[in-house]
Amino acid sequence: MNPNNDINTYRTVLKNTILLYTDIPNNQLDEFVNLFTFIKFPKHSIIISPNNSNHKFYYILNGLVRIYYKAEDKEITSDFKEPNSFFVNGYTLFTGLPNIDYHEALEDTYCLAANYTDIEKLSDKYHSIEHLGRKMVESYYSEYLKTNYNKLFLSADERYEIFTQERGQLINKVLLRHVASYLGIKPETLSRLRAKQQTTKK
Amino acid sequence: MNKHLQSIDTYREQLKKYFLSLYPNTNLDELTELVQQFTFDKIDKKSILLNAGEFSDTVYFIIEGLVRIYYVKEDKEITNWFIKENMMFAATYSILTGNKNYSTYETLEDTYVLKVRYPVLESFYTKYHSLEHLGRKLIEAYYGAFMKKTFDVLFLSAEERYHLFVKDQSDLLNRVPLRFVASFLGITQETLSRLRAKH
Repeated sequence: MNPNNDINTYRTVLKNTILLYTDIPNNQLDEFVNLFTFIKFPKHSIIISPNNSNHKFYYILNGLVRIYYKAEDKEITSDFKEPNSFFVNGYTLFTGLPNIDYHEALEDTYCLAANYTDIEKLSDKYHSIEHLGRKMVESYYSEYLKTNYNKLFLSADERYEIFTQERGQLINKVLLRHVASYLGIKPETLSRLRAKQQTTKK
Repeated sequence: MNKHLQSIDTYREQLKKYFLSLYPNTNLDELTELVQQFTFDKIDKKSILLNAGEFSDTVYFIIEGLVRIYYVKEDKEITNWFIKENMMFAATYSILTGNKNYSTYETLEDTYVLKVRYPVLESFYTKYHSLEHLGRKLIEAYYGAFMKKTFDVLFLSAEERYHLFVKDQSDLLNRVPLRFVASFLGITQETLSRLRAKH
C-alpha cells in the first residue's frame, strides 16, 4: 500500500470492482464511492465482533480478513475475505439479531469503509445503486449457498480440491487449522490431503 | 377447501400484504402491476412440485397449504424447511447458482399458490425502483433466515430448538408427521416424543 496515494486512487479501484456487478452512470457512481473513506486495520485487530457490532460496509484494498465464530470455545472459520471483496455484518442487518461472528485482520489490512445507512440513502435516491445492492446481495447469497452445498454433499477430498483450485494462494497465507475448520475437516486430515497432493504432483 | 376458494384478485391482495410487510414503502401502483404477473395454481396433497436434480426458476407464494423441502443424504431424507401460507419459496440454489437443485419440494396438504418465473420478477425490479428495493428485501429476508437456521443448529441444544419450533410454529405440530419434525430439528423421533411428553 502506498501511503502517498490519493484517496481518489483507491476510489477508482473500488469503481472498477463495482462495474463488474452492473453499469452505473458515472456521476451516480462518483457519489457512491465518495461515501467511502480510507481505514487501516493492523494485523490481528478485530474489525467486527459480537461486542463491537458496527454497521459499516467495507471494501478490501489490500490485506486479508478471516471471518469466524466460536462454538464450544473452538474457533470455526466460515470465510476468508481477500482484496477487491466486500464484507459487512450481514447477519445483524438481515435478521435484526445480535451479531455472532468475528471479522479479524490476518495481515495489515487497508480498506475503504462507508456507513451502511448512507448507502441505503443513496439506494433510495438512485435506482442504479439499489440495483447494485440487490445484485451484490444475490451474489453473496449465491456463494453462501454453494459453500453450504459443498459441506452437505462433497467429501473432504473434494472440498480440499476445490479450495486449492479456487483459493490455493491462501494456503501459504493462513494457519492450517483455520483452513481445516473452513473446510470442516480435522487438521490431521488436511495434512494428509496435502501430503497426498504433493506426492501426486511428483 | 374448495368451499372458500376465492377470486384470484383476493389472492393477489394477500400477496400484496406480504410484500408490504417486507417493504412498507413499496409503490402501490407498481406493486399492483407486479402481482398481476402471478398466476394461480392448485397442487394436490402429496405431490412433488420439484425433484432434486432438476432446474427451476419458479417462485411460489402459498395462499393456503403446506410444502416440505428435503434433501436425501446417505439414503436418509433430511427435512430442511416447512413452508406454509403467507410464505414464499423457490429453488433459490438453482436460480442463483445456475446449478441443478438438490432439494425435493413436496406438498403435505392441498396447496393453493400464486407463482411467477424469476426472470419476470427481475424484469420488474429493473423497471421500477421501489420493486428493486422490495426484491432486495426479499432476498435479504431469505438469506437471513438461512443464516439463522445454520446458527440455531450450531448453538442451540435439541431441547432449545424444539422450544423455538413450538414457539414459532406450533400449528405445524398438528399438520406435519412427527418423523418430519424430528428430522427438521435434527433429532431422533424418540427424543422428540420424550420432549413432547416432558412439556
